Amino acid sequence: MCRLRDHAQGFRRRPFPDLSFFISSFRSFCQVLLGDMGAGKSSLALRFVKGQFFDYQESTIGAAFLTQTLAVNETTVKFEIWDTAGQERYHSLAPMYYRGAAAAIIVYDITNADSFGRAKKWVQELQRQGNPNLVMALAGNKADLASKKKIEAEEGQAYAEENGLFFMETSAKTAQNVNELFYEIARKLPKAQPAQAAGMTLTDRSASRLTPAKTTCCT
Amino acid sequence: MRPTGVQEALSQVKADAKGFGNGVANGVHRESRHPLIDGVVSLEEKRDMYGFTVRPQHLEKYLEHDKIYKEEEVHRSNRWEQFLETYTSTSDSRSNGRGGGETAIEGRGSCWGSLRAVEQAVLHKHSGVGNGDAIGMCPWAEEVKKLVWEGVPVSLRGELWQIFTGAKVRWKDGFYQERLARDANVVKPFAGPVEKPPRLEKWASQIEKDLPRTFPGHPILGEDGMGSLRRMLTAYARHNPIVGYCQAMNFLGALLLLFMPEENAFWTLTSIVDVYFEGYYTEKMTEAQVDQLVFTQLMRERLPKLAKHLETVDVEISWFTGSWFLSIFVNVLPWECVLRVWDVLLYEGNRSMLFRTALALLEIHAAPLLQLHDNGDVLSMLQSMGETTFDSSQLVLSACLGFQEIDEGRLQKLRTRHRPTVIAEMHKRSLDVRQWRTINASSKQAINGTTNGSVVAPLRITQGEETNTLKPQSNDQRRLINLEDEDRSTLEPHLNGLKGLDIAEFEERHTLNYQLSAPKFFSYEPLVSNENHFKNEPYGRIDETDEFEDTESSDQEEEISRLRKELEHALQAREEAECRAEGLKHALAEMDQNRHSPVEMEKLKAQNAQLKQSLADKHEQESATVEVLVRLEQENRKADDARRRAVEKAEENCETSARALRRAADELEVMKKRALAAEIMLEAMEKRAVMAESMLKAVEQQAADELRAMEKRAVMAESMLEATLNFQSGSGPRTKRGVEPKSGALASMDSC
Ligand SMILES: Nc1nc2c(ncn2[C@@H]2O[C@H](COP(=O)(O)OP(=O)(O)OP(=O)(O)O)[C@@H](O)[C@H]2O)c(=O)[nH]1
Ligand SMILES: [Mg+2]
Repeated sequence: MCRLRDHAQGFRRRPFPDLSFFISSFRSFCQVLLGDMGAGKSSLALRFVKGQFFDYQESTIGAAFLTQTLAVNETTVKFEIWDTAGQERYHSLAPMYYRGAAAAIIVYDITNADSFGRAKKWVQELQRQGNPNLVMALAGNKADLASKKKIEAEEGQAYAEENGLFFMETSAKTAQNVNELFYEIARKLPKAQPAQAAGMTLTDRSASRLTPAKTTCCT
Repeated sequence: MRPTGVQEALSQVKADAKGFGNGVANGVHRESRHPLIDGVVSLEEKRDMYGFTVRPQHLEKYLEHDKIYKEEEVHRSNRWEQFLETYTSTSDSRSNGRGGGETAIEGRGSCWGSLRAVEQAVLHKHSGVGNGDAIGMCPWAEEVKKLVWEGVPVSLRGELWQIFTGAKVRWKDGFYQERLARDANVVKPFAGPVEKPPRLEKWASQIEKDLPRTFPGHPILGEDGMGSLRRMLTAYARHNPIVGYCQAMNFLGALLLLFMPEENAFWTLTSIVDVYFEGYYTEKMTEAQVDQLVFTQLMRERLPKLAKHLETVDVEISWFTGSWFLSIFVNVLPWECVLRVWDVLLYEGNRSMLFRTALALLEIHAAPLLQLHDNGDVLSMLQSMGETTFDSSQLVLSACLGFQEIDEGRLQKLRTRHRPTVIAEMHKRSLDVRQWRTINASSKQAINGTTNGSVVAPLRITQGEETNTLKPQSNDQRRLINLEDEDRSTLEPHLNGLKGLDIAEFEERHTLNYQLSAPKFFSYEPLVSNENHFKNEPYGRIDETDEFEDTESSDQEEEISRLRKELEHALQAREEAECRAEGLKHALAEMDQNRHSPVEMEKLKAQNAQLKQSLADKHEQESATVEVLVRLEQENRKADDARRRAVEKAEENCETSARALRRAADELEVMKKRALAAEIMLEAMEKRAVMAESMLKAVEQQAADELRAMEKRAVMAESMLEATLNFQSGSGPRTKRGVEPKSGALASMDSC
């Protein structure tokens, strides 16, 4: 899928009439949104990319790809975002989207305790991949629904700290902390192109042998 | 013979002059009508003729095609009408076996009566008879196919889709209502174990979440429409608990509701999910994954250039086709295209049209895609190109004609080939999960200081940072987890098959096995054995490995695939058994509460215990199979590694010799240069020699000239001397002349 590209590569891969050539620093990186169905992944992505919000956002089937290019600290950053489907069974399709990602946003709905439980499972799953360079963020979404809150910010914060994630309460509806969330990720990304996860085990390789069609994107 | 629901629907349709079936929700007549017919939808609302929003950025393009759509619609309505008129009598005479009740649709005129011609064509096709006899039986089957390719008229779509999917054949009176009645907390007599499904509440809340998120704002999906969809999806989940509710079904169901009444839509959905998409929307989504591997292969074959291009920009097509297939192109293509694709797909009785459509779509956009070289740009285009594909006829016809040979038979073969890969991958993943869990649990245990572990086996952690110890659970514990762990399938839907397998034990045994059985070729240590023919042949060993591989791996592969199949079967059986057990448990609980007949309860308990036992047996069987499978895989992998190493070595070898060659070539070049220089020098020297020669000649010439001049002078001098002498002596004797010539000559010389 999309991979974290260094400066030089970013240039090489751009098509010819490309203005980024004039910009002092250009980076693009791929991130994935994970979380329970209805947690607000698509809404967060849509708010960040298009500045829109719908009270009824259509459910995501499989996954959707979005991009947004912004300046972060004098660097032009192209955010390439995979918004995935939230239902549990779609989980079997998720690895192909997070495998090549440089960052992951795990979203839960602060009014829904189950979605917090599910967010924790996503964190575990990503930790299992053993990629030390993966930047992970935990987003407690729907912060505007404070009256229906089930998960306190402290709880989210504590869990995030324990697991080395950074945490924010967001609202796709009011746009609270949405840009901040994505910017923070861009800032946290390692500056140089990271070496790929050292934690690849033998068994992992056997899996990729078994699925020749599903080549890993970050090799 | 025809179910009353359909009759009801038909009479409803009959009442509608334009022939579009309004939704009938449990007898409640819905006011909403089809926007195309009622002209409800204006373009200011930016909705298309089916009532769906058109994205503002595509509005212009949509308006362009809207005219074409309308023309096509008129054209195809005429074509269908003509066809139906022609074949009414024929099909009527042939379908004499049908009940007279069907003629109740005579109100529709010839058109509706003769839909049976289509029904017959579909039956003929689905029965799979392709011989001449069958063609004789239904001579118009080919024509129906062509008509479907061109599209089904809006007014017939609902009815025809039901015929295509066999919804009418599946229809059971009262079935739908019965599934729904459970909702009302009526304690019904226990009917069957599977029919009281587990985790119903989860589906209910998931369905509830998705209802307003299904085509929000569509005029037909108001309160009533959502109610219909809710009932449909709930009834389906109860009908087939193995699938339950899967996101995507909300869109499929809603689309059907646009064209037919609720109960008819239920049966059509049931056909689609149970038959066309069997194994697709289940908890494991196995077939959805298999189809992705199949599609990737087909794309490599049929669109090799594009496939190659995607590879070079690190894009896998399955990131997109996964969604395309699961949603059957709903929300991927513009509506006219979706419906045209559905027409063909449903008509064919299987999902092969998915593959053809995807290939056609990619083919249409191949040229611009090949122009993009940035990974992100390609991804964006793949994401958005579907919704700009407004030319429905181009898409469907290039799918049907251009990729005609991609049919169900071919696909089935490919699926069989790729399925083991998917299953193995899922098992591997669940194995990893299990391993991780065990490690985590054990480290927690270590922290807690509990020391009740009986067997302790060392196990390497995935990251390889630390070594941990872990405690396998007792058999009883494990079985308990199998039956009681409600949590288990949340993140690890594929864990099931491996629940009974203890990883520590497995690893240990596996290592042992490996040590015993691994061929020596795989060892990294220098060989100390008497295989001394390997001496001084650094790569000979690897060559051996290759040979070994060639003979042995095919057997292994065969066994692996056999075992995989076995495993698959076992898993299926297990799933069913589990489901039944689950159902029994519920039944038991229910009966306990109601203090129903203890005899039956005993019976059920016994049955339950039996099932538990068989389940446990299955686990054991499974774990054994998995073990062997994994071991074989590992060996295979090792062999693979060795092979790869060999290739690497060979490459290295090549590299070395290439380097030597290059060096030789370089030297040659130098020598050539030197030779050339020498040649040049030689030439120069030759030139110089020639020059020297000519100089010499010139000198010689000069010398000769000088000599000649001197001689001349000498002669002159002599003659002068003579003259002088003659002059001096005048009459002197001539004999004296030879006595003093020298002095005379000298004198003449001096005077000169
Ligand atoms: N009040 C409020 N509602 C939100 C917020 N974010 C999302 N929603 C609503 O929650 C529902 C689900 O949001 P989505 O963005 O579709 O959720 P998702 O995580 O993409 O869900 P799936 O695609 O099913 O996995 C939608 O109806 C949104 O309108 C928020 O910040 N505040
Ligand atoms: Mg979504």
